Amino acid sequence: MAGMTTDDRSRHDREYANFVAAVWVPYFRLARLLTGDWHLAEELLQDSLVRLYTHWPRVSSAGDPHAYLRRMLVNGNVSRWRRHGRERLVDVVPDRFGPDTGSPDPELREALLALPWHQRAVVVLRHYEDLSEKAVAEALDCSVGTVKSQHARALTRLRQLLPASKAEGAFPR
Amino acid sequence: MTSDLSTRLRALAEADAEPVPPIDELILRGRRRVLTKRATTTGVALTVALATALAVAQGVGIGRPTPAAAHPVSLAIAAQISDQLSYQLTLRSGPADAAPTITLDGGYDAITGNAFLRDGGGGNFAEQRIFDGICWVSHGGQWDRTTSPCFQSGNGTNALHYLDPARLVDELTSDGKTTYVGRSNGVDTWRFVTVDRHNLSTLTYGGTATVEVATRRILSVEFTNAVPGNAVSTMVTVSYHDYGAPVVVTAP
Repeated sequence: MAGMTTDDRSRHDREYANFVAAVWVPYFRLARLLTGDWHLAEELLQDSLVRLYTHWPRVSSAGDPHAYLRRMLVNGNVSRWRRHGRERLVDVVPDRFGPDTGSPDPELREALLALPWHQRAVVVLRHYEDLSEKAVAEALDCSVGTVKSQHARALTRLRQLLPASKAEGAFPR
Repeated sequence: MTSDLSTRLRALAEADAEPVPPIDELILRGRRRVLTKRATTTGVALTVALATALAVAQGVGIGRPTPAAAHPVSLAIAAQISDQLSYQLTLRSGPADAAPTITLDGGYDAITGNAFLRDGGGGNFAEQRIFDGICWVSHGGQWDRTTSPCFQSGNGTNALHYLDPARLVDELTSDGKTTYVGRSNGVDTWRFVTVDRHNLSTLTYGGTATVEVATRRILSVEFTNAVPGNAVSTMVTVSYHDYGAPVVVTAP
């Protein structure tokens, strides 16, 4: 944003604020599925939106801010996963139950968390965001072939983890 | 694709209430990030240029000790350094030709991002706090969570700017009309003039910012804002102090 005038900054801030207000809820939900945790989802979304702010003039005028934000959410989650793995250290015992304790579908939540991050991202982007394989490949910066293979493995694993779904023939082969 | 997995994913995603988007806080953090990147880039460029110039002029290695620099401390770098620490501030505001009518005291915890602004007289609230990205306001009794922008001072200006030296300096020097005044008693003084066309009427800001040379931190920002052609102008003085000392902001 170097070289921006006060008018530019004010206009960009307004546009950015409107964008955040419009996308906050859907992308919080996406982040929640990716992380499996209410607080981590908020942290991931905030970090991604702060990054988006620094590129806002370029992204808003020339690109697709939704695709950009989606990609930052996925990449941010991958970075966090690589830094911390599955281990989550806490210095104090939480003094209250988190919102996720009342999950309406704990089986699915646990099954999603059991998937490797790449497979989880493919499942969430394909089945929650309804993205095409090509769009998922762009978001994950991989080939369509990789998306297909990861998707197949993820569904196989989910069928194993969610036997009730298998019995009902709920998931595609 | 079966709809079952999609349906279950949607139900899972929508199970709980979403947090409130902390838009002001995101913009604040975004601006800090821009400033940090800018200051880092400038710092690297300056370091390389200075090192190269010294090496050429002296014909010696870059690692040799160099004389104490007499260069002014960059406002942008001072703002960036100041922004990394907790601090407290005192703000006075009022007509330029009379005693201040509003006095506010505040503090910012750089670790948590929490902050408070307390009315010392003349404001339209007793205290405001940002805690975990949520703005709370008290008028002397109970605390209310508010969705309106936090830290609106009594004269309608957004004191959130004043709570953050980096943002304030960024705003006030956005036109690039900044000149170095000089150094006295270990303090660098910069003068700035900028024009704000955000509002219906154009506002002109002019004032000075001081930087402690030893620590490269913003000490104070003082400016008047005025509508061109209007005899009445407002004087705002913000001093930043107790850098690095813990600032405790509790949940209301």
